[in-house]
Amino acid sequence: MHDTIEAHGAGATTPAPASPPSTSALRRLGRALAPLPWIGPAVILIGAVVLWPVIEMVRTSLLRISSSGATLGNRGTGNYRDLFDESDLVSVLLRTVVWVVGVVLVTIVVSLALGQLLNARFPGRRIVRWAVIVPWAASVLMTALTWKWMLNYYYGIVNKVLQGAGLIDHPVNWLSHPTQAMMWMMWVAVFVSLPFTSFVILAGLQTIPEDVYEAARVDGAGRARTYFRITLPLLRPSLLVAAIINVINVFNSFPIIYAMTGGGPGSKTDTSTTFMYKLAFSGSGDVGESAAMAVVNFGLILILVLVYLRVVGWRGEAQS
Amino acid sequence: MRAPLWRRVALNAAGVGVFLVSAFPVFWMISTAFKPNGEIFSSTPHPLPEHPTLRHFGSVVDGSVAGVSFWSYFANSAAVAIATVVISGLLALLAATAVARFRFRFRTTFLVLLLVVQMVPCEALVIPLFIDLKRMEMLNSLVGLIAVYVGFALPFGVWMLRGFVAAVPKELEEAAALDGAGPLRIFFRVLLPLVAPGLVATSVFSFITAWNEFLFAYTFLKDQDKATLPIMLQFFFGRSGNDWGPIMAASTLLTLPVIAFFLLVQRRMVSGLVAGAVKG
Repeated sequence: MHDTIEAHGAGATTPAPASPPSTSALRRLGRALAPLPWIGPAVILIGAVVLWPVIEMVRTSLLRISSSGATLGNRGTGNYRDLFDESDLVSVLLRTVVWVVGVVLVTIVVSLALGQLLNARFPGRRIVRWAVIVPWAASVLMTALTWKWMLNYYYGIVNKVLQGAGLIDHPVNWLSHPTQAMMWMMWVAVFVSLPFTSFVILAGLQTIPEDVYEAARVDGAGRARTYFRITLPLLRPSLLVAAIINVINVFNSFPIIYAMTGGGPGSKTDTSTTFMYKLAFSGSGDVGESAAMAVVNFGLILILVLVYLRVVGWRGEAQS
Repeated sequence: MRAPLWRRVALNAAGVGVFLVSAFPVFWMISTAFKPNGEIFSSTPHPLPEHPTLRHFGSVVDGSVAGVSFWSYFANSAAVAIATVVISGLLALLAATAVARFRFRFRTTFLVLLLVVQMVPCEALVIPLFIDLKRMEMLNSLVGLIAVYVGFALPFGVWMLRGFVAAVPKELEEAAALDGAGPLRIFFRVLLPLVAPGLVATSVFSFITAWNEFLFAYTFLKDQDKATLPIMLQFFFGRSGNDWGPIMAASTLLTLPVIAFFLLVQRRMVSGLVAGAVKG
């Protein structure tokens, strides 16, 4: 088929043949341009919506921008100095690292167990699979709001259940204490990350052939030994994909914190993504400083992913 | 070989536990949405409404709280999500065909670009995109929002569909070409029907993403009559932070159609997505 299309493309861009050298040059140009109608629109849109804004983000972080979006000239590193002078910045960054590492770690561990459960044969497996998938289709904003309602101080079901079980004596105003609010929001972040992660792991489990387990059984390996020596190493590619996608998603998660605490009290439950948003759009918004925060966020994600790859790769070498 | 009894009991217990925890928030949302205020704000909440009411749904749909009717938000959301699905599906399929079928100079560059772009944290781009749209006077326009959603959906879509196109045997297209069909005809009559399953999987995914997306819609669309459903939810929530009846009714209206749809297509969709993710 590609012959047809190349011929077609070349025919469309090549006028009547003139002298031989120019024809071949034109034909080569025609051949080079042939895929353009096919990939051109996609390239232009990806460029305009993703690549160009990345460049512009870096440029904006070096400019003075008025609140109406007009450029008021160069600012050098002024926006970065403002950002690093923010008294909350250090605690926000530390909290972001705890948020990302904690949520992704718990998600992966729980998903490993969930994947095992969803892969096992028991009546009602299909219904459990459906239930696990639900938070994937539901909007994160709605899930966060529902949890906020369930955590309500006076009427929330969480307090009633915990009181009924004798775990707490008095209702707790969970979301007004920064530490407890953070724990609950991390739980919600885990909750919405589980479906994708456990299904990636489930898919990974299904690619492991039965005879590998058979061989382990013949060799007399126990359940735990089989799991840690065979299943887990064979799951590595799935775990790698799941972890990296989760790091990026969790880092950028905005609706959970926005809906449940708004980052408050103060900035005590902000991560760097909600903090970036507040810098630009709340009160005396400063778009330049917010762009500087976005650049720092980019760097942080890159570092987190690279550190993760490093750790994983290093362990892989140690194992082999 | 049957598993021992204790193992079957443990598996079933774990299954029930997982089911309860996963499904409870959605259950509680729906239950709250149907409860009269007296039962919502009660010190002894019951699992199910004792006197179910449609009042909260009524106040969401007629717009007496948000000022604009639910159907306006719904129409905007549907327009944005459908346009995103159709445009990104078509453009992604074109690009995937080129990548899977032609050899051209920057092919590898394009493939690497697709992978790198998927690593970009989109949320960090809300500021520059806001500035861009403002300069182009496309803030508050559904077209601007659709363009952004399509741009974000494309890298994943092309990457997914590439595998589906490559799996179609070339002989079919060559036979069609021998019969005198042009490239466009081959594309629409031979390729399109054969990659339809892949197209369905990516479409469902981009539909759900566009339908649920909050941050960009919230930042770009400032007029209530242009806003999408997640912003309606935010509006209820922002203005009357304690009016949980309408908030949960609005959440139900936003979520249930998508969950029902997702469960219907999940088998095909999950295997397709996961295969793409693991291969990638």
